[in-house]
Amino acid sequence: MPDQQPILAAHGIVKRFGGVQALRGVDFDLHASEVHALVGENGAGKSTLIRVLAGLHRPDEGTLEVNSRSMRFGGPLAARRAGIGTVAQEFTLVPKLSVAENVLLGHEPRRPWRLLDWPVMRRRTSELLEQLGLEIDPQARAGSLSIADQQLVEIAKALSLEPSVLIMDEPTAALNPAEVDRLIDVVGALRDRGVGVLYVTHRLGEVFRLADRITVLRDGEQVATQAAAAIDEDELITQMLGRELTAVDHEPQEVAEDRQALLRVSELSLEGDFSQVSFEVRAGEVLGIAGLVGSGRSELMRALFGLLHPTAGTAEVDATSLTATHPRDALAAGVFLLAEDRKAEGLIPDLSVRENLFLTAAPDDGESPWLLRRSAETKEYEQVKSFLDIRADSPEQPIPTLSGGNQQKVLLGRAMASHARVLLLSEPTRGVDVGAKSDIYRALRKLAADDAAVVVSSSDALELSQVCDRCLVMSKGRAVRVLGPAELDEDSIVAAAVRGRDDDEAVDEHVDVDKEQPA
Amino acid sequence: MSTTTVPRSPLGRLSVRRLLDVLQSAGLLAVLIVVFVVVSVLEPHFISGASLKTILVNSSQLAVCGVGMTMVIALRGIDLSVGSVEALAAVVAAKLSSTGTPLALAIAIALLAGLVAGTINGLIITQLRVPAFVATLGMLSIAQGVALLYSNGGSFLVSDRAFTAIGRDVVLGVPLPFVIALLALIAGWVLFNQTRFGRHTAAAGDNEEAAIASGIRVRSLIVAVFAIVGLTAALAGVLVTAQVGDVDATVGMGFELNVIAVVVLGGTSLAGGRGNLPGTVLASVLVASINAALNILGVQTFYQYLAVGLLLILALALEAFRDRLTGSRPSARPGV
Ligand SMILES: Nc1ncnc2c1ncn2[C@@H]1O[C@H](COP(=O)(O)OP(=O)(O)OP(=O)(O)O)[C@@H](O)[C@H]1O
Ligand SMILES: [Mg+2]
Repeated sequence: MPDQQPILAAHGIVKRFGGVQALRGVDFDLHASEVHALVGENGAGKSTLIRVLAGLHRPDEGTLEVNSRSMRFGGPLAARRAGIGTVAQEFTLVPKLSVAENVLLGHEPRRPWRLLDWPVMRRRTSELLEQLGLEIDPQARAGSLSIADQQLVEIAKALSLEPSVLIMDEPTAALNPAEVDRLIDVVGALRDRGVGVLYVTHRLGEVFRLADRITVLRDGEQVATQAAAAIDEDELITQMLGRELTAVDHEPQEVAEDRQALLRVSELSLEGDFSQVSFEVRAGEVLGIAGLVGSGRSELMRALFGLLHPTAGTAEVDATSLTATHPRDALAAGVFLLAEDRKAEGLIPDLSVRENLFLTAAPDDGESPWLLRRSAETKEYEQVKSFLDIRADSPEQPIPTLSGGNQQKVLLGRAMASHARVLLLSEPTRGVDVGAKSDIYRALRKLAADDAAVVVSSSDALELSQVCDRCLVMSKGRAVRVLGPAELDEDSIVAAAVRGRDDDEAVDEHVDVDKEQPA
Repeated sequence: MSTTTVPRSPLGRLSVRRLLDVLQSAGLLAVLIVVFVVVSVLEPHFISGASLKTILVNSSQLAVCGVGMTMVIALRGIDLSVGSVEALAAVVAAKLSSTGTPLALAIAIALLAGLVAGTINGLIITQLRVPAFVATLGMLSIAQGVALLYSNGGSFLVSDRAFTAIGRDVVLGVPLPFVIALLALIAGWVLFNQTRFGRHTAAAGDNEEAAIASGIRVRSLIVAVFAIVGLTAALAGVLVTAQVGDVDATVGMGFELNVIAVVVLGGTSLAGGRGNLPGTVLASVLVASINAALNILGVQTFYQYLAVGLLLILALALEAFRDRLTGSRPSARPGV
């Protein structure tokens, strides 16, 4: 490919935000029929580079070329016209509009008198969805689709202008393994059709499955650009972190029988979501919850926190019954939930990093329950920041100016500051880089060591095997297995989640199970 | 993990947002000074002590009620009933006082009326799930009706010297109504900026779903904040009675628009999540000054409406500009 001209080229891009240098002279190019992966730690500058290419940020220095013609900064519309399609990680679909309206938003086919041409809209949308191998009704409301389908509709939307360049920022962050496979097939097919794809992800497995070339950023600096075949995962991690990854040396442990059960759930049911789920978590223990999409694990976590209302069964915290009808009740009982969707249910964008961290909890030495103690908050912020390695310029920064992974770490910090004895964490490392992941696992184990009961619900089996002592596997709303310390590894978690019921019971359900998990 | 430290912003601990709040206040102050200079050149006795005093007295009702309205708007609500509630409190205080009720009790009952009206607004919004705009539009009419019924359509002359003194007294050179406004500002500022209640109000106004999922009782918060704005509207009503001495049920007409205007002009975002209380009070003084200036220049009173309308539009345009600067519009938000 090097003999060809790149379809997109950036030279010496510099971008500053106040005193922060997000990009320090980055060169980047992309060829037709190529997948070029962009990787780096949280805050390395990946999203910023993407925003520059997509016309959302004006670079302070540097030039852009599209098809060898220099492009001046002209905003997102100009970039789209120049053939650059973007799939942001934040969803931009209008939930109340139909799929077709969303896909063709802003360039709808018209009939005379500027009326919408519905038949053409539906046909064009069907064609686009078909290319992606999707069976989605163009007339369905966008908000009614699953996250994965919404993500694919986003791609259809980006493709509707027939771009020659497709930029994707962490498209798989919210997808489960089966959905990831489908997305990877779609990206591969686009490449075969001649589209150049810029792909950002923290999942290095995807990088090696997809990428032709890899560019590594670190602290806004370009560390390397290389053929994917010329490097292996360990070397890539070293390039990203600037050091070797310290292996997670975790041995799942049986928590001593005599430790009290902090959270005891028995026969808990929520019609339509999960039924008769029972389990216990002891102080000092990390319990994982595994399961495919639709297994009910997210709903179970939400129900324990009072966001959903169980229809039967009981939950006890420290032997007192937990009847949370509002998250406030759960907090009062010492239960904290890290929500799965950090944008909708976690972040308060107008508040600063410090204010987000201490939204409901007070800092340790802020003795007054009513008055805020800014200096105490700032002091504890500094501790949380160094403990979780949060890359922020100042505690007074509005939280949206942090990189995605660092926003996630602030929410984890909120969980720590809550001093809850039962921590429910949904997808705790979503969007977090490899290095920070192992730091977070260490942090969770430390919380457990300090006598908390930690429950981690995750779609990442490797993650569960690296942080848990035991793992509850859910399938179709039921708790089907508990994997003890001896049998806890990635493969057995995946196998149990896919298989559903225990082998002997599963026979009659075999057909259903197959349907649930596309190969 | 890595040892590189991110360079500090030249702003240090002051966030862009706070800086803009300060700039907005500075901008208001600058406009205020320009108004004073221009009008004083045209009409030299504008700057006299007497008219300064009038300006401060006239701004205090706006400022007092603006403190409550700032919090409501930060919660992404709106209260259209403040004018009627002000009138209700004004006639309650006037009638009770003129029929011999002790002053403190008369005032307390008037304030209680505002608190009750505000609480009812909050309950309608949270329990019947009616949008604030509609609920308080209903209350606008109801409170007006109650005020008319209570006053029997008539007006009351306050004879209690102690009552009218509230509108005339001067403390250390500052008119007492404005001192009351400053006290309301301080109380409001502490509540909004220094308590958990205030932080939760901003959070709920910014991202309600996240606020609930973080364990904030948003409904109780809404009731409390609407109760507060009802209370401040009633306090404004008591001030009206004290200043005018002769009130009827129509005193609050159009008050709600002026209050909303000063809040927005002061730099509070209609999109919720932010509130600038000192800005509100400063904007109240500005609006009162412009009205006084138009008065002294002999411009017909009707033009004052035009002036307030233009200022409001200007303020909203300014807000859009601020949002671009802080990048708080969704499209400018750094992604994930
Ligand atoms: N609008 C902004 N104002 C101030 N700083 C910003 C802004 N946008 C980004 N930054 C800073 O620029 C740096 C790079 O951020 P960026 O979002 O590009 O990181 P990233 O590589 O995408 O990280 P992640 O993997 O966590 O998403 C970070 O330090 C971030 O705080
Ligand atoms: Mg990013």
